[in-house]
Amino acid sequence: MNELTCREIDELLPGYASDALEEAERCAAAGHLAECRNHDVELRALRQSFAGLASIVEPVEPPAALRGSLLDAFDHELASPSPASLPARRTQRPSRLISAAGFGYALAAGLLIIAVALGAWGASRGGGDGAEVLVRNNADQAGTLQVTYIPSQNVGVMDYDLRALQAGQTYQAWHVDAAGNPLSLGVLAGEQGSMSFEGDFGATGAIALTVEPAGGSRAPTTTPFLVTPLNES
Amino acid sequence: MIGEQDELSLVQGLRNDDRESLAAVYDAFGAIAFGLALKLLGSRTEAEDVVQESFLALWRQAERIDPARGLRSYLLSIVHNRAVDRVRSRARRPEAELDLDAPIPATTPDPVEEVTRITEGEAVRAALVSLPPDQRQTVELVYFGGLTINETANRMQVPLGTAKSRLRLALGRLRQELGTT
Repeated sequence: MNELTCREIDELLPGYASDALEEAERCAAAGHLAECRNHDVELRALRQSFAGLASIVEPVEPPAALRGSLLDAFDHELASPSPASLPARRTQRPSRLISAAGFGYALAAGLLIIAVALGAWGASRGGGDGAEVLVRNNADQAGTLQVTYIPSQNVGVMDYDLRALQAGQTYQAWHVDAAGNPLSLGVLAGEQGSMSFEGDFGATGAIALTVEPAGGSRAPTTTPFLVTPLNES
Repeated sequence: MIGEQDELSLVQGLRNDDRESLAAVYDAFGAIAFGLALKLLGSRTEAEDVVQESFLALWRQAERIDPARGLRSYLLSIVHNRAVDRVRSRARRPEAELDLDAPIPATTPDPVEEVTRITEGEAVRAALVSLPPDQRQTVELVYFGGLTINETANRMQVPLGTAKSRLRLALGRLRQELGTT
């Protein structure tokens, strides 16, 4: 989608504030809104009105176990600032993942492989690609992932169709830079769907997925899979 | 009920990775978060997942919370976004069917009312009821159904422009009625 004018953004603003735009429109609007301050006040007011609708929802007491589960997940995540210090998991992971004892090494190795591979790709590119929209596809036994990213607007969309997870697990997406540093892009909603993301990555690094405990993690705790370089030619 | 000062201190607690602060925020807002997730998803299991994910996300994003906006509002936006993501993810599967035919009731179906009525909730409900039916249904389908404007237009069998216009007018009216600045 071409860059939008302020007038066009004003038209889209109610839908954007309500998270009711289609992904392409949302990405284009997000790109404009990230750089243009003309709409901040209106957007904030619309969001406030929309969010206010939650007030008419009747509170429902959640199951008592949820509180403990939340705090356990908090403790678990807090205790594992680095992958190497993670304790054993309560849930069994799919076979493509390694044991808790070994995953710190494997993660480091995985990220190193990504970094080296990205360095190689970067060296072989030989100049800018000039692409306005990057579309990258990846597939293996774990599932399929399509990444669409617009470097000039710092926004992108992931479309994914992945293998079923076990209870207590979630897929999480990361941007991994050329040095192997992961930045969380968010937790995927289920095994199939799409998720938008924002970030100034240029055409560098890779989008990687990991399996994490429900709620996601601050840093990857399992080996990334479906690693999709943004600069792939 | 959490006071403004308490809220500031809870935000600070979350920023400092304080477990008790997270527990206190959950105790204060867990039921409304679960109610919202359940309303959108219709599944207790999925609602539990969304609530847990949302509280953890709130903690992770604590640095970005604007105390002036309020913890409750920030949290419920996260819950809504995540629940809508799931609704849309579910809708992509052919076997999934969204139950969106019944708009939200004007009063709770549960005969056991809360002891304390939330004033804001009453004001929002009144503002919503005051909307023309088409606008009200549009905003309900978007907010509680998790539909995009395109999907809303299809559901209501109106042109896309009409659905967009109804959403704009509805949010404008809500803003006016609620005095949102």
